[in-house]
Amino acid sequence: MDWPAVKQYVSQNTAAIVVGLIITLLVVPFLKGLVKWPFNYIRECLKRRKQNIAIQKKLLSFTQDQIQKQINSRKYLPDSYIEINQVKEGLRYFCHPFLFCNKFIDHINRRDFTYTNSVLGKEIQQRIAFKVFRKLARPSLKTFKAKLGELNLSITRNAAVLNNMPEKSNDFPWQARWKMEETIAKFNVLKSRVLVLLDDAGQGKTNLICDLTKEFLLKLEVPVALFYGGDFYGLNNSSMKAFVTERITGGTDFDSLNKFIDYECRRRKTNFIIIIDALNESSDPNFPSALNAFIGDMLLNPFVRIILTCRTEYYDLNFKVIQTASFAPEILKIKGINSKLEEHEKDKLFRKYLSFFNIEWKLFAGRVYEKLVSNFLLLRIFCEAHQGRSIGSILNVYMLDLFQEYYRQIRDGIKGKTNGNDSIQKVIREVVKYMVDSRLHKDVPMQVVIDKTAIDKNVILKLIDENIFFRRDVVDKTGVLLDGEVISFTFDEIRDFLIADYLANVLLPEDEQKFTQFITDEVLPQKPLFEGVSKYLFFISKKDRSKQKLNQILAKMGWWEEKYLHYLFETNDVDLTDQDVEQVKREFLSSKEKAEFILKTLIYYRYDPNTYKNLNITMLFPLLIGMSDADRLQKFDAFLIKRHLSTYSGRDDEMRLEHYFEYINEIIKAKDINNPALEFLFFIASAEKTGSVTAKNSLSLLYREHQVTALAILEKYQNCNNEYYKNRAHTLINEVKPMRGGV
Amino acid sequence: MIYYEYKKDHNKAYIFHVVKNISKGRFLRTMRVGRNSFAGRLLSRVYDCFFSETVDLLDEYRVYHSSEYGSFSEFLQKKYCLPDEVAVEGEDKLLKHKNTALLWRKEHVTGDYNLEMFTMSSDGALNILNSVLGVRNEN
Repeated sequence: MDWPAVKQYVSQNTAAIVVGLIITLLVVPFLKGLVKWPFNYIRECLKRRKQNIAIQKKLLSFTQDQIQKQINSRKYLPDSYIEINQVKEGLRYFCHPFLFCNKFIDHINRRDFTYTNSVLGKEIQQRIAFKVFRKLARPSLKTFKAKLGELNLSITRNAAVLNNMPEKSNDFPWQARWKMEETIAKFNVLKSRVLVLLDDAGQGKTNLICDLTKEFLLKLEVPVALFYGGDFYGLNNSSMKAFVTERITGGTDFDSLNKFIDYECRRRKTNFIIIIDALNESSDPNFPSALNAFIGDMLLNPFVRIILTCRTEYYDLNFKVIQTASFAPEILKIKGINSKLEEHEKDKLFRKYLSFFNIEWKLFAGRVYEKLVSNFLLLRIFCEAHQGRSIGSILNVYMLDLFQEYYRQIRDGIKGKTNGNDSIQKVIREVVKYMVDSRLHKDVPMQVVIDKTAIDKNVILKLIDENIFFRRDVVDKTGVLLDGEVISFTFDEIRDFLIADYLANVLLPEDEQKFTQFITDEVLPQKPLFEGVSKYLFFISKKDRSKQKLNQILAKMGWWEEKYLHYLFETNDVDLTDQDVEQVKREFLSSKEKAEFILKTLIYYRYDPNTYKNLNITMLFPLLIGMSDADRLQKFDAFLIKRHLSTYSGRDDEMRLEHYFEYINEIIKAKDINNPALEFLFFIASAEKTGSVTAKNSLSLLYREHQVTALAILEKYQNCNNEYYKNRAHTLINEVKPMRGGV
Repeated sequence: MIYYEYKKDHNKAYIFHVVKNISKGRFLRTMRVGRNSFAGRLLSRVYDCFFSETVDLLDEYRVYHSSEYGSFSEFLQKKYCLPDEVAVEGEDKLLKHKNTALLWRKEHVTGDYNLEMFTMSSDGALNILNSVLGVRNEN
């Protein structure tokens, strides 16, 4: 190498070389970075995507588990929610505002105030008219907010026009006001960010929330985290955020949760929904303030929307801090989630309950069906007690057996889960004992139950919240109860059953005088406990025949005589004896009114001797044969003359006689020819009153298909000691033979 | 034409099965009345009584609820609380009669007379409306 030449070149171009070197040193890393940058970005994106997919999977499985918990505890019956009002639709608007903003625009574009404007046109200057809005073509937070502003202006203007309308006019179209209110309510749901659903206990808040999550949010892939009030305990103001972050992301970094929310919501064009169901189920005293701080933190992310559900009085009393928080204007409260069910909706729900509990059935008597659908808590108890069984025809609900079975299942279920823990028995006994001792039938102080049972408050709260037996309420703290929390039974019939059970099985053996005193003072027709407790005491006395003492005390009560027959016919047939049947016969002969009641009950419900083995329609046969003509006319024929037995009119009472004839038809078809219920055809046919034509037809059918049986029935009465029936049997043989028969 | 009427959320509700997109102008022309005549104004109210604020159920299902409900009949059963057989038959009707729609609306929505007062006032009214708005070979 020619070093002198190099030296000379360097000395002549020193400045250029230095500049060149500096540039090279600066540019090379830059170029290197430029080449690396997309790789790093892609690597970062892939890493974040992987992380987000992991969170997404964890979130999905967490929410699904939360739903499954409620299915297991039967607070949520899948597929049982019936959309009878606008509450679920409102929740759709709230949870997926980007999509349902367009539905709201459809709704507002449809609004037609032509008639309102024409009626009131003379009295006002302005007209009510929404402009035609264009839908959100590219949903994003920015376009959504802009659209909300546009809608808000129009709604405010039109609402103001409507409010300025004079209402004096007789033909003021009230529908206009109603329509405007509906539109404003929908809009408020769409724009709010925290929705609070409030209602009383047992109204189906959890069922609605789980249905919304499972059937709407998960299906539309809206990211959702479902929590229950009971999940939160041991909280301070920052720990709730950490708890939720941990549940959703599996880590503790709140920032990564926020990034996930942004990523998911932008990608899916949805919002992120956090649901906290049953705020009242948290027993942590710090929960309200922790929740307040949590909501404040979460709302900093514009994609987050929060749904809370709570018992109304609990929310008003314990969550005042939320109602006065800085985000209070973002909160919307919906009070009352239920509406009255229409008949077809009741029927739908009835079938869904039976199907969910896997109950096979053939027929429900009208009165049983009415009883069950008029109180879905009772239907729920009925279904739980009969789950997984084939129950055939249900002509009666034996409440004592139903509640005993239900209670047994609940008790055994808890024992099984807690290794033989009998806490529910202890709690029930203390609640009932307090009610009996204090002569109150609701609002047992929680503290009394905690003290007497020595069970931890959290265990008692769990028991109360997991069972439909109990209801937890808050009483005015200015009252005598320091704790403020009280326990009642959710369902009066259950309360009455448990009080009667306690009276008969605990108090009577322990202290007969106290028992008698309670019955004499509290189980009186004008007292609230009377209907239920007297009935269940009666049933218990019939079920357990060793309780002679109970029977004797009850028989001395003033109401015994009047209620006896009513309660007896509601008693499970297996609990009845021959003595009871003989007593019914005596009651039948004692008065026309009682005879009518007995006939009605036997003929309409107890016509099947296989179902009702002890007290059934066959009881009447010897009675009728032994009666004088005058007695028969007064106590049997007179009843048949009444419209009750008409088979033509559609009244429910009358339809029940149809059941007897249908039953007879089935018997004949099934060749159950020794069934004694067939004989009653002879008595209806003999009376020659309403129903006798159908009875003769049935007899004729029987004669045609099973001649020997038909003749045996008629011949039996040809040879009886009663002249009237002897003659009727002669005549009927001649009448039935030539008839063609058929029902 | 009135496919089904029932009570929903304490209001009487109707579902109409009609040919799609019958405008008020076309309706009045078919009824052979001028828009500004007395008969035209009356029939215009009748038209509103049918079509004002109606929801096209199939459109609503497709745009907003198809992810939520597996089929149109399931949507009718669950969202609109129709009895199962009515919902299934409703879906069949749309399949059999192309270019028709099931429209849902609440009674009293305009504030004017209700549907029964317009159509049941004389026996022939509903038949005339059927011939204009209804689906042929159906009623």
